Amino acid sequence: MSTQKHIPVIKFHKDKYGDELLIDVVTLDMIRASKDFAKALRQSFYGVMLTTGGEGDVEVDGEPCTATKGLVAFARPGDVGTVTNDRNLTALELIFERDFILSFFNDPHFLDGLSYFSTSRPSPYVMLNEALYNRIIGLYVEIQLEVANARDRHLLRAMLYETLMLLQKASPVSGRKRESSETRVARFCELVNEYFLTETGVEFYAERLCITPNYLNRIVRQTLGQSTKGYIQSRRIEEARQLLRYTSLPVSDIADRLGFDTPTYFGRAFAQATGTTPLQFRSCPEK
Amino acid sequence: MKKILVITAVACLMMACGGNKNQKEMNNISNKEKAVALLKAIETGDNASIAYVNAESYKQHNLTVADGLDGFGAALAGLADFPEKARVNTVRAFEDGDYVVCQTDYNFYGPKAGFDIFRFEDGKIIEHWDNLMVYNGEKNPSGHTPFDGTTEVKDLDKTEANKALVRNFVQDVLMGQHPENLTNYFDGNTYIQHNTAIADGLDGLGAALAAMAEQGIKMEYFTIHKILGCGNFVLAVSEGRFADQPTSYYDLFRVENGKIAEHWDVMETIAPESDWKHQNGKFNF
Repeated sequence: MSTQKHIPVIKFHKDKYGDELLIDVVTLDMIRASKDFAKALRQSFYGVMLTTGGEGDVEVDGEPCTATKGLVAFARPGDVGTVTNDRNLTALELIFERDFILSFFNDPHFLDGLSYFSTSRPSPYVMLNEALYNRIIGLYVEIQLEVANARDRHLLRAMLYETLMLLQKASPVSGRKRESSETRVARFCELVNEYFLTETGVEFYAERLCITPNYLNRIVRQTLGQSTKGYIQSRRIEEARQLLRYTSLPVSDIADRLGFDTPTYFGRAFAQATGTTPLQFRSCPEK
Repeated sequence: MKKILVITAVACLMMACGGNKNQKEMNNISNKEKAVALLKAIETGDNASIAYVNAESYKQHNLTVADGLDGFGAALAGLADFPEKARVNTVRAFEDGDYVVCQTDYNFYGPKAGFDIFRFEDGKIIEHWDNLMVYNGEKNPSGHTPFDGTTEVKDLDKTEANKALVRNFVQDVLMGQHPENLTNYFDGNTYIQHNTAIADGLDGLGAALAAMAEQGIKMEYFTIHKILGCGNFVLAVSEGRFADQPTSYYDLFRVENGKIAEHWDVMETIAPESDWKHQNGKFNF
């Protein structure tokens, strides 16, 4: 299990080349080194990671995939990415801020309309064939050279545009979403068992699982048929039932132990979940 | 033993004026063979090949070696005090007009990779340029050394076209005038790289560029001083700055079917003027 305490957010290094520039190509190693090799990272910008060699397990927004040469992973601002089980994985990531391309287009939804950035994307991955790989890697290096030299914004935008359009021609690779979301939900349940006494927020569990709260909500609802918060709450109520049944602890102590702010709030939550008050339940638990 | 070899080498310099090779023999040997033999003499101390140098007029462009044949002699003499034996293995050599280009695996005051250019007049060397870098024997990320790879010279009818291609490539890409033309110069991702720090392919180049950008290292090419070629091999001699140091770039390219296929290079920081032994300049072709 990850020992990470939070998901670091990587911000765009806008003035790396002096004047502000909202596009760059960086290596995977740099992205990871920049935050002490944290396993899960969140970027505040768009990223198109092109695997150039080696092998590794990557995850974008909770969807795992095995990266080999030619696999491209797409991250939108806020998506959480991880790289694990790295076998000499090498990659170049084309990164840019939304404004870099949108300031030029009339269509504010241009990026959302791309098959790999849209909210309903089938997968955050595509696999490039050799010809497409060669063109894309060529464009990456052209962008790098332009960034290192004249930094002509129009040329850079044109190169980015060409890259994004060419990537739409690549075949999507489905992540192992279904299988993984079940595993994740199982891990979520374990985590809740371990931490529900002290941790009641969705954020905590999402971070532990290296995914976003939204994604956690989605897979929990899909798998368990209830909300993440509801599940955590029901685990607390379940514990309350055990304590009422098998101990003589006062209700106020139980409320306190389970992290409810006040006994009244506990009583209300308990009644909502079980249809009975804590004291009624204690006197007649079989109901 | 080493001392004796060096003394022999210096002695041969003195004898060189006498020209102990007869004119007939001189004419039967190509300029390329003469250049390679002269370099080999650094290792063997063979005095005969010194005769290939014009003793009255030998213009030196290595800034840290004194002008003239006596300057070369002094550089050789210094080897006596160096703890490692000199080694000279020229791995590629070609002629372009009066010029001969040699690419050499050296131990010359320590292990080095180097390019030498000689200019001939009437069968004798009258001018010399070089670019040297320390090379510790390690292979680059793709397992290549600065010396291995293709040596076969071919496409002799394409020399001029290939020289033009390399000149354009240096201008467009290395000098940054038209980076957007990069992919036109390559056959896809096929690019065998002998630079000690860079992996094969455009992806290897991309990783190196990103790493340099991250470290704030700029590689700048300002001027092309000379393009020399023979068939599929073309050498570009350029001047610029690397990591803010004045730098001399010697880039050897192999061209295949009109595309750049392989690259070897030597980068040398240009010595500060206070260290120059003459005013011939590093370039001045």
